[in-house]
Amino acid sequence: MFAILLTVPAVAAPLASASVGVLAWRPFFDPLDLHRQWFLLLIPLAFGIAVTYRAVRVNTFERYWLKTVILTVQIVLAMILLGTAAYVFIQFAVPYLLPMTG
Amino acid sequence: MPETMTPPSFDASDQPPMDPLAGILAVLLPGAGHWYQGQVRRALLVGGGVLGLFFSGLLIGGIDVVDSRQDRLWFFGQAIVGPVAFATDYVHQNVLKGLDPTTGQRRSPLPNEVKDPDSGRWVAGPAGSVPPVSKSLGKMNEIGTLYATIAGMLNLIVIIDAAFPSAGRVRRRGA
Repeated sequence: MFAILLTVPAVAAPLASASVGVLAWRPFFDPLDLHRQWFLLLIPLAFGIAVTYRAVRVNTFERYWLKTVILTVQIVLAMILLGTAAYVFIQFAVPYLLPMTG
Repeated sequence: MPETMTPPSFDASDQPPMDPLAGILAVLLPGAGHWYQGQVRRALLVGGGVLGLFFSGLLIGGIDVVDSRQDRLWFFGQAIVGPVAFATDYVHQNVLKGLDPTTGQRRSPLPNEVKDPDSGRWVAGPAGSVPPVSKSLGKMNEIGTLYATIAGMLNLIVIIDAAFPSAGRVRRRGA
């Protein structure tokens, strides 16, 4: 559901060019061909998590959607920070701590 | 003179009693437990969230992301979505998978393989034939599996919230 919002434009463009491979795509039976844009799928994932988690946590639904959007942004930013930290650790810290010999 | 503040006291009688029927309903269908408790809006949001994530996972990675035999550990998480996950896995295992002609094991088809309707075994199809389901690989399989598994993890929170309701929520029963 959430992924549909994001993937429709990405799927519609190749469909317009009448590519045989994309026309053969069968929803739920074939995987999407979004291997290069996979990271964009993390945004609807964060939104889905926020919708459900906020619905459980709040007592009243006052400003519910604002809280949901804020949590979505927080999740996405946290993933970016964790990804950056992992990149820095692997690219710079590990070669410094464990230099390759020979 | 500083003003003394009294911390808010917790009164155990404010806590609603455990609601096992709502918990069971939440296991059967995400959001059904909250619906039973009269919290329709909350039920729609949690049901739409959990099922939306689960079916988005199927849309991204195909039905191959729910596989109790090949991805058993992931299926443990997905199974918490409820009977929907088990029905999806049943269709995947028994309808879409076929028998390997050599080993007799159930497996997904290779490209250009079709299922022999009599034996249920995969056989090489004519040129250009399309198998009934595609094996998902790489990032699409990972992201789709993640969606479906997180849906199950979230439904665990929903089940606990339905079975052990919080104080201060509008309830239809027991008022």
